[in-house]
Amino acid sequence: MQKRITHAIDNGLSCLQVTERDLQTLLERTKEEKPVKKKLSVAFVLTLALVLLAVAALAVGAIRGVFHLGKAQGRPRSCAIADDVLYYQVGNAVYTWTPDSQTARELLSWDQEDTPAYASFLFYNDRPMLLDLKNAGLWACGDGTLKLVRKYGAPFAPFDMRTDSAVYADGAVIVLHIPPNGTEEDGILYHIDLESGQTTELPARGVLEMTCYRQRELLVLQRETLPEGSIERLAVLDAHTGEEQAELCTMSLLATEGIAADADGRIYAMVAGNLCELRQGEWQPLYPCSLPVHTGFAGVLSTGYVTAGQEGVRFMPFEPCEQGRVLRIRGLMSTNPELDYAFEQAHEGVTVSREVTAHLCARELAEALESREPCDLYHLCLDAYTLELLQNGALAPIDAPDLLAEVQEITPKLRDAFVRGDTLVAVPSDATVYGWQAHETLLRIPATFTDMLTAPPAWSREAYAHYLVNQFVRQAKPEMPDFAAPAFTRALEALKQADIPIDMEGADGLLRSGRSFSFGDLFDGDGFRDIMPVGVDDTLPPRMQGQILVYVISPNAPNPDLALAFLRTMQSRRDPQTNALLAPETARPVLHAYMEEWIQALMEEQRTLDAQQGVPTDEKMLAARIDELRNSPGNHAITQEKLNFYREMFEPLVDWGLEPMLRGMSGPHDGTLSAMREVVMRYLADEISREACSRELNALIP
Amino acid sequence: MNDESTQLLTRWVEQFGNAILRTCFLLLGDRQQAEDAMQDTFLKAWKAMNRFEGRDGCTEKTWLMRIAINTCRDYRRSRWARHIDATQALDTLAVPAEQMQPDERWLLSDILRMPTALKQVLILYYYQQMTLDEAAQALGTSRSTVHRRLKRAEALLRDTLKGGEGL
Repeated sequence: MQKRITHAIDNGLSCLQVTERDLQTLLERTKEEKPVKKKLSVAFVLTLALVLLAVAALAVGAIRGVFHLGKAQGRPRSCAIADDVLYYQVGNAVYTWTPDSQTARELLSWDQEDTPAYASFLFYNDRPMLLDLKNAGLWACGDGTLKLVRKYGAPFAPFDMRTDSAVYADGAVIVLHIPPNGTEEDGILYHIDLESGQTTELPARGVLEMTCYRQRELLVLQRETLPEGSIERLAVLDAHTGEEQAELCTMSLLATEGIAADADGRIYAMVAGNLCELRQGEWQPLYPCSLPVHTGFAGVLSTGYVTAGQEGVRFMPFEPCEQGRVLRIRGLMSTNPELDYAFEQAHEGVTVSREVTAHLCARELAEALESREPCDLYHLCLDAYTLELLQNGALAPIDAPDLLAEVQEITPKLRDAFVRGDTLVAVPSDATVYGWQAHETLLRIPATFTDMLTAPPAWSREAYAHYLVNQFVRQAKPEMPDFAAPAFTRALEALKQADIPIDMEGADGLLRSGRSFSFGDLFDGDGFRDIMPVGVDDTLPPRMQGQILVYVISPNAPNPDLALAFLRTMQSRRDPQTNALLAPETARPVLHAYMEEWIQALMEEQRTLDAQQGVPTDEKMLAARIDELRNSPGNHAITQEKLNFYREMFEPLVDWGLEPMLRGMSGPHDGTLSAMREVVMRYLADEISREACSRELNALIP
Repeated sequence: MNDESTQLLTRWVEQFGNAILRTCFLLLGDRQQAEDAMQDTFLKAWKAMNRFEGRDGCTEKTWLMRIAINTCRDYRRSRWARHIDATQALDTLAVPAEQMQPDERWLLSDILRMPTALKQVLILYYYQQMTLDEAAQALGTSRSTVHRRLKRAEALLRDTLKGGEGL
C-alpha cells in the first residue's frame, strides 16, 4: 500500500515542486520579518533555572546529597558507563560526566549528513561507538568526529522509535523492542551480533527493563501474569541465548524502576519510593527518593546511582549526608509524571517518596489508616467505598479555602464527593471519561449492544459480558436495574449466540482501558460518534463511565503542611482536560502549552529588540498581536466549540459511578460488577439457565 | 538574517520542500493555498529555529510536518477554504490527467476526499514514511489515535486499491 500511495502522490503531484524562485521569495520574506536573535529562549531560561537550582542543590548537597545535572543540552537519549564515567548522547553530540563535576563535557558533536539521529551509544572493543539500529550501521566516535566503520547488509529488525532500550553485552547488543501494537509488557528482546550483524529473537517475554550484568548476562525486570494477579520479578538471563539463569526476587506490580548493576554484581533500583540495594534477595532501602521522570537509563558509578530521563541526569550518592524532610505518598501512579519533581524543585530540601501501587482500594486504605502508617498522602480512585470513608471522617480535613473554592465549581454530579459538610476531604487529580471501546477496524458504529455483536469480535467473551452488565446497570440509573427485563435478556441471549472466542489475544485490558474521551479527538465535528458508547437498552440514553482519582491526606500524616502544599502544586499543574471534565460549565478555552511558551517568548523578544533599538515598546500593538494569537481556535488545546460540544453531547451521559451498585471498581475486592460478570459467564458456559442468571443477578443488587 | 540560519533554512527547503508542498496540497486541495502554506511553514520554522534544538525525540522532519499540518489547519478554518471542492483539486494541477494512470488518479482523488484527520495520518505514515510515534508527535495526538485513524483510512482506500496490484 505504501508503494502505491507514494507513487500516486509523487507521480500525480510531480508538478508540485519547490523552485529556486520559491526559495528566494522565502528568503526575502525572512528579511522582512524580525531576525532571529541570539536570545535566551524561555526553554533556555527554564533550563538555566534548572541548572542554577542544580548548582544550589549541590551547594546544599550536604543535606540532600542528590545532584541534578539538568539538561542544558537536551534530554539524554542513549547512555553508557565506562571507567566510572557517564557517557550520554543528546541530539548530534555525546557528553561525559563524572560525579566530581558540576557540568557535563562535550566529547564530540557532528553535523555530517547521514549520521544517525537515533542510535545507541556503547563501547565495543573498548572504543566508543554509536549503533544505528534503524539503518544498521556502526559508527566510531573519535577525534571529534563520527566515522561509519560498518554497514551491515540487511536491517537488523523492524525497529522504530519504540526501541525502548539497548545494552551492550559481550560483543552483542541486546535490544528491547515494543512491537507497533504492543504495550510495555509485549517487549521482545533481540540479540544483535556486532561482528556479523545477525539478529536473533530471544525467548524472554514480559521484559520491562534490562541492564548488563556480570559477564555474558543480562539483568531483567519482568512482568509475569499469574492466576492470582500480575507480579514483577528480577531475573538473570544469558545475554546470548536469553535463557533464564536465576530468579533473584519478586516484587509487587509497578513498585520497581531503574534497575542497575555495578561491575561487582551489586544491584540497585528505586523501589517503593526508596533507592535500594538488593541484599540476599531483599531490597534494602538506602534512602527515600522521588522517581525520575520518564527514566530511560539507570546505571552505577563507583560512588552512586545515576539515572537519565526527561528531567536530565540525576545522581544519587550511595552515602548521602543528612536528609531533609520527606513527603510520603502511596497509591496509584501520578498522571502527571513531572509532578513530584516539580514539587521538589519548588520546595528545597524536600524529597517526595512515592510508593506506586497497581491498585489502592478503600479497604486497603482503611487498613493503612488503622495501622497508623506514617504516610502523608494517598492517591486512589473515587468510588462508593472511598466515598464512604471520606464521609465517615476517616481522612484528615484539608484546610485550604482556595482548594475548597475550586471544588464549588465542579459539576453538581460530583461536587459533594469531595466535601464532608463544609470541609474539604479530597482533591481530584485526574478525571477520565470512557466511551466507545470497540476495535479500530470497526467502521460502522453499532446502534445497540446486540448490533455490536454482529461486528467482528474485538474483545473476549468476558469483556463483552462486563460491558453488558456495566452499561445496563448505568443505563437503568437512577432506578435499580431489572436483569429479567427483555432489553437485558435479549442482549444476553445474543451474546450467547454470538461467535465470540472465550479468549482473544491482546483483548485483555481493552475494556478496562477503553477509549477515553479527549477534547483533542473531537475533529471535523463528527468524531463524537466514535466516542459515544453503545447502550444495551435502546430506549434509554447510553452512559459514559467516568473515573476520578483523588488525593487524600492521612490523619497520621507526619507532614500535613507539606501534604497541603503538594495538593496545591498538583492542583496548579492539573491538566486542562481534567479541569474541563471536572467543571465543564465554567471551563474556558485553553491554549496549547507550547503557545503559552511562544507568546511569552514573543513578548520578551519584542521588548528586548525595542530596548536594543532604544524605542519604547508599543504595548497596544503587542497586546493586539497576543490577543490575536490567544483568540485563534487553532492555538487551543480546548476550544469553546469543543467545550460546548462536550456540554451538550457528553456531559449529560457521564456517570461517575459513586453509587454502591458500582462499588469496588477501583480495587480487587468485593466488586459487585465483577460478581455479576461471573454470573453472566456461567450462563454463557451453559452452567445456569437464562432465568437463573437473571435471578442471580437481581439478587446481587445491593 | 545570519548565514547560519540562511543555510539551515535553505537545507530544510531543499530537503523537505517538495514533501511539505505536496502534503499541504493534499490537505488543502488547492495549489495556491498549498504554496502559501508551504512558505508560511518554513517561515514559522525559521522564526522558531532556535527553539527546535533539543526537542525531545523530535526530528526536523517531524517538527516541520507538525508546523505544516497546523498551518494547513489554520488555512482550512478560513471561510474561503470551506468552498474548495476536493474532488476538483487535481484539475488545478498542471499535470494533464491523461499523464496519470487511472488507478493512480482514483487513488489520489480518494485521498483528497478523505476526512482531514484520516488524511493526515495516511500522508504522514505512508507518504512521509513516519512511524506511528513520529506521526503522533507531528499531529500532537496519541499513538493509539493515529493507529485507529490509519486503520480507518486504509479501510476507506481498500476498495480503490483492490483493483490494483502490489498491495
